[in-house]
Amino acid sequence: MVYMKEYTLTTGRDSLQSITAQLTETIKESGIRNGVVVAETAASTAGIFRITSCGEEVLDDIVKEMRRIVPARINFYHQDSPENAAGHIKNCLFGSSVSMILKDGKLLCEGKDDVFFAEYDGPRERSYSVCVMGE
Amino acid sequence: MNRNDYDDSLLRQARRMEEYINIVYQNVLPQVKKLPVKEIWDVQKVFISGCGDSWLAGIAAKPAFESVTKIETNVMRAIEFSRFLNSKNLGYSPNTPLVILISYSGTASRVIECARRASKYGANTIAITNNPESPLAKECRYLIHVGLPEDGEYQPGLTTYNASLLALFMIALRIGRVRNTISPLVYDDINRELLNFVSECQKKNDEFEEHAFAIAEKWKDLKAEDFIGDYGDYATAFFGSAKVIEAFGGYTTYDDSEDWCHINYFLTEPERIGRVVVTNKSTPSFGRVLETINAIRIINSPCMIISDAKKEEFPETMEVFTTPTPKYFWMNPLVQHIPFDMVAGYIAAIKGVPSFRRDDERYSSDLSKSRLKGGTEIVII
Repeated sequence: MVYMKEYTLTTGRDSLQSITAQLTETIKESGIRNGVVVAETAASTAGIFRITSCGEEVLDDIVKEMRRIVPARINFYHQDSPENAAGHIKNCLFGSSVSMILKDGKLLCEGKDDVFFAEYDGPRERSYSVCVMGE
Repeated sequence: MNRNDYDDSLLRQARRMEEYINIVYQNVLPQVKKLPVKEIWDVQKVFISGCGDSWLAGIAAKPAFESVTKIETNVMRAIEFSRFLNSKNLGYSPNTPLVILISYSGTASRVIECARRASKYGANTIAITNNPESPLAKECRYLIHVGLPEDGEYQPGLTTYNASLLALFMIALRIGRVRNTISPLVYDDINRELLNFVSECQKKNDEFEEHAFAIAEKWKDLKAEDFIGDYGDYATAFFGSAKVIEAFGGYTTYDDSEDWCHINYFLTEPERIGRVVVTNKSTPSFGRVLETINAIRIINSPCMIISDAKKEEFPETMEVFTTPTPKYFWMNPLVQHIPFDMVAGYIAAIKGVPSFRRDDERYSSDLSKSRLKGGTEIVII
């Protein structure tokens, strides 16, 4: 069985928003107990990733490190804007989807990890999809 | 009198405002997106210059530049920029200016001179013109071709003014987007709102024409029209004043709301001078403008007000044109000249006066050419 749901959200500048609750909600709605859960965004300057639940300081560090690794520079070939050009690279480097194992109606990482929607060129209206596959 | 018996270029242009705005928007958008990030990032100061309506487009766009880009923006008359501005302002560093030069034909001598002077000192230049082969287009580093159809009716300038103004707004948006002074969300919203706002105003066209014709009947024999506006609204006021001269050769003057109380208030026969006030609720000088309007009421001048404020905000005797309120205040100048353009068009039609005195050889286009174009161009060092 496959169950899909789309979510929208308004992001901030360099924002990380937890979408873990939306994932567990989708799992419950699907009725699927065992299988795989995928969350993905089609946005080219945003991303989705999973990290260990660890508080605001780590999230701030992640945002700062991302900016350090890929700063908004004026000499990218892509000339939309420095933030936008850097956003495309962050999307490529840090990914736009996560997949997780679902066992007995729960994510294996539930309670330990959080899934975040990361904005690299915001604020914007964004969307992402959650797909639950299994039985 | 039946208004359907009268027609004029200004009226015809006003009726097609939305159509032309859409044409210019579609043409300019891909061009502004190509303005290089590095050069936009470098800009520390903006200069906008041109002659006549083109200069006024700069005045009208200054609030947009300051609001969207947060960069100091100086709007200068072409003669000031080309002959008087201290050249220290034009070097790459520390000032690193962006110089935007506007000429619909691209052949105005003084504006070409501005481009040469700016280029000589290494300043980045953008030409806004409808002629990509013109001397101005060739003198500037970048070109924004507004792309108005060549067979259009553009005199007196209304469509061309809107084209220049819209192009300036779009350059400001590009700068704001690149420098992140506006978010992508706001950038998208402004782009939508620009076209929606013009569309909302165009819907009021019939109502405005009816009202404008009634005013034209009453004002056609007045001895002068006197215009009042502040900051961006000053451009709209000045533009209206220019249309008085261009459309029917009338006498006219203009001032801001403060200085009007010091100077123009004292003009003789105030009951024979039509006063035109441009103001908006969001402007910081709205309270002062209301005091000025009250002074106009006391001296018994006929008065029309163009504003996004409702009629009830003003004295009962005033003729009020209420324009839609834009989400972004700086968009007002794009449409608020329309009500008086219509009045000027109807007065010209009722009087039977051709625009720019085309029936009098002293004002022939050949003489205009030598007056505005082909003059001696020099570069001040």
